Order: sequence, then structure tokens, then C-alpha cells
Amino acid sequence: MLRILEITTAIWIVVGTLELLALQRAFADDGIWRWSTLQPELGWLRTVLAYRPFLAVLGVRLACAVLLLAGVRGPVSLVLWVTTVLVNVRFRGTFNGGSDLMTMVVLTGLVVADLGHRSPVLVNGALLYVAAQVMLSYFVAGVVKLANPAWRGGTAVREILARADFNVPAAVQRPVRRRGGAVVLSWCVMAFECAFPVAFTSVPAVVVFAAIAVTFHVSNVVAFGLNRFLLAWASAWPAVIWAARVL
Amino acid sequence: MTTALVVLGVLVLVGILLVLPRVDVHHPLMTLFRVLVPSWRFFDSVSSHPTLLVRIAETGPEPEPDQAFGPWRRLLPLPRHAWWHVVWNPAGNLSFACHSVLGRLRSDLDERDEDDATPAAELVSYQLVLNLVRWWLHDRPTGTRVQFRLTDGDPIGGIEPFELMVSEVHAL
Repeated sequence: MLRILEITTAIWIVVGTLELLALQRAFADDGIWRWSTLQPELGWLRTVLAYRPFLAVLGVRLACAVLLLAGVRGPVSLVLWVTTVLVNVRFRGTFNGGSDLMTMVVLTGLVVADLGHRSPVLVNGALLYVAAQVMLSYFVAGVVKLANPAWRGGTAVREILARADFNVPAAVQRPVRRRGGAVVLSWCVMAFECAFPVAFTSVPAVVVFAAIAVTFHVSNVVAFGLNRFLLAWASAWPAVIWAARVL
Repeated sequence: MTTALVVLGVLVLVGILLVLPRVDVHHPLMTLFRVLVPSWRFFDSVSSHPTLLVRIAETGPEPEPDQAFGPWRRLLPLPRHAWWHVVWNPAGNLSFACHSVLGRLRSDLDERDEDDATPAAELVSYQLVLNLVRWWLHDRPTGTRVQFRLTDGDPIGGIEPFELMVSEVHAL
């Protein structure tokens, strides 16, 4: 299962890095994240985070992801971990929030698994860590929503879908314009997220939760364009399936 | 059975901790800590989000007269949707990253002490928002003056906004 985790992670990092390279004008010397603006905070990292060196960092990241996909081991995971930290630092935290955090989780797991010549204890511990973080990512999100009256009453869903900056398609907004639709959708999301620990109880349970998760993440892409969340979580899911089989 | 009870206990504990009031720790290392130890609180607060508005003065040498500026308008383009965005959506992700920059300026403004005399314009997050404004208005003629405004809520969308800040006048 570790190999599958490597493959899914490598594919996601290739796509994510190519997306960043496609946006390189945004962090060039006349872009939004230009080095001259970031230098007061990050000056000590100039040799890796100024525009040209940062392109090289992205190039190294892309090459290592391809090597990981090809099955090359050694320090590949560690280099990916370091370059991903640098990408996050360059954007003062993360470029796209949760998806970058999940990437860090999975890469941390891969780095730990590579320590000690892949001893079963470390590999199992790494997979469990990734699976636990995936579980927490749903469970925590569910609990904080459940504690929020706006979510329980459906108004939160309507407000999020109506936000101009997401430009959610009208066809997606229509079903939740009525309060009943919004309440049903809210409770479906909260029920899925809060119940996620149940996925670890059996293989059939994890299959059901995987199907719901795919629907959930693809819906988020359709509604909000959040493709990086789909790809980052998909990269981590092999660990969840593994955990459900062994626990 | 024992394992299941332990896991259940941990989840109950996590649930209790999550509904307790949050303690915000303001330290530069917290940024790194948040990357390594995610909070996973997606959409826990939905009532507000920062909106960036700009107004532009295309001509006129003097920076003072208010009349020289056009009306306030949204700057960031609305994200578009297409089926291939499932795997490839750099423009959409740039849009989200721009909104993160706005959110960071808002939190930096919130975190400033009342007796903090540092002008907002000296904040890195302010400079990033200014870069963002210049980026999206790069096709305007040299000498164009611009002012931006950050509100909590969307005045153009009909929601009563809370004024977070109005910038100085800047040349493009």
C-alpha cells in the first residue's frame, strides 16, 4: 500500500507543481508574490526563494515527483518534503490552504516510512499517521460545523454558495435556495464528516465512505473549483484503505 | 474492544477541545507550526470574508481631488468553471490564493495592538495586496492612480459591509 501512496502522491505533486509553474508570472519579480516584497521577512532564504532559485526549487520538486512515480527511492521523499516546505514558506503559510497541508502530511508519512530501511514498524506507523490525519481532516471539520448554529440551520451553506468570489454555478445554487434544501445538504455534509471514523471499522465501510468522499470532493470542484483538495485528499486515501483493512 | 474504546475516547476528547473557545497564539513560528500541524477547521466561520474593492483615476496630475476617481468596483475576476478543472485549474487556484492574501491582511490588521504605530502600508500583507492590485491592473496607463479598500462583507453584493481599511493613493 505504501507504493500506491507514493504513486498517488507523485501524480498529485506533478500536477500541483505544473500548476505553480504555469502561474510563475504571479511570483516573478513584477508579480504579486515578488521577492522584493517578501525579502524583509524571508531574506535569509534568498538563495532558495528569490524568483530564479525558486523556479529551480519547483524544477527539483517536479523531477523528484517523477522519480517517485518511477519507483526511485533514497532521499526523494525527503527532497519533496523540503521543497514543499519551501513552497509553503514562499507563500507565507500555504498557497492553497488545506490541500498544501494534506500534502505535507502525506510527505511526512513517506519520509518516516523511508527511515530505517522501511522497517514494518515505521511503514505501518507512517501509514497510520496519514490515515489518522485524513480522518481528523473530516472529523474536525464536521465537529466545528456541528457546533455552529449557522451550519445546523442551513444558512452557512447558502452563504458559502452565494459568495461572489466562488462564482458557484447557478445550477448548484438552485437546490439550496430553499431553506429545506440547504438544511438537508448541511446535515448530509456534517453527518459524513462526523461519522468518518466509522470508515475504519471494516472494508465495506471504507468502500462506502470512499464513494461518498469522491462525490463530496468532485462536488467541491464543480461548485468551487477546488481541484487541489480533490487531488491532495485522493493522494492520501490509500492510507485510509490500508488502515481500514488492518485495524 | 479496548482499542475501539480508546479511539472513541480520543475522538470525544478531540470533539470537546474543538468546541472550546480558541486561544490565538501570535508568533512568527506559528505559521510554520500551522503547516506541520493542521487544524482542519474548514468553513467553521462563514459569516464574513474580506472583499477587495478598487477605484481608479486615469488622468489628472493632482492626487487629492476625490472626484478624479471612478466608482468603487470589485477587482478580482470571478473564477470560471470547466470540466477539466478537476485536474487542471491554475487560474482558479490563483484566484483562491489572492483571496488568501486578502484574508492575511485582514488578520494582520486584527492582530495589531491598539497602540501599534506601525502604518498599515508597512505590513508585508498590505504590500502583497498592493502588488495584487497592480498585477490585475497592469494594462492601465502609467500614471494611473489607484486606491483600494478592504471590507468584511460584500457591499456590491448587497451585504452591509464592515470597513476594514482604505488604502493610501498609489500610482500604478
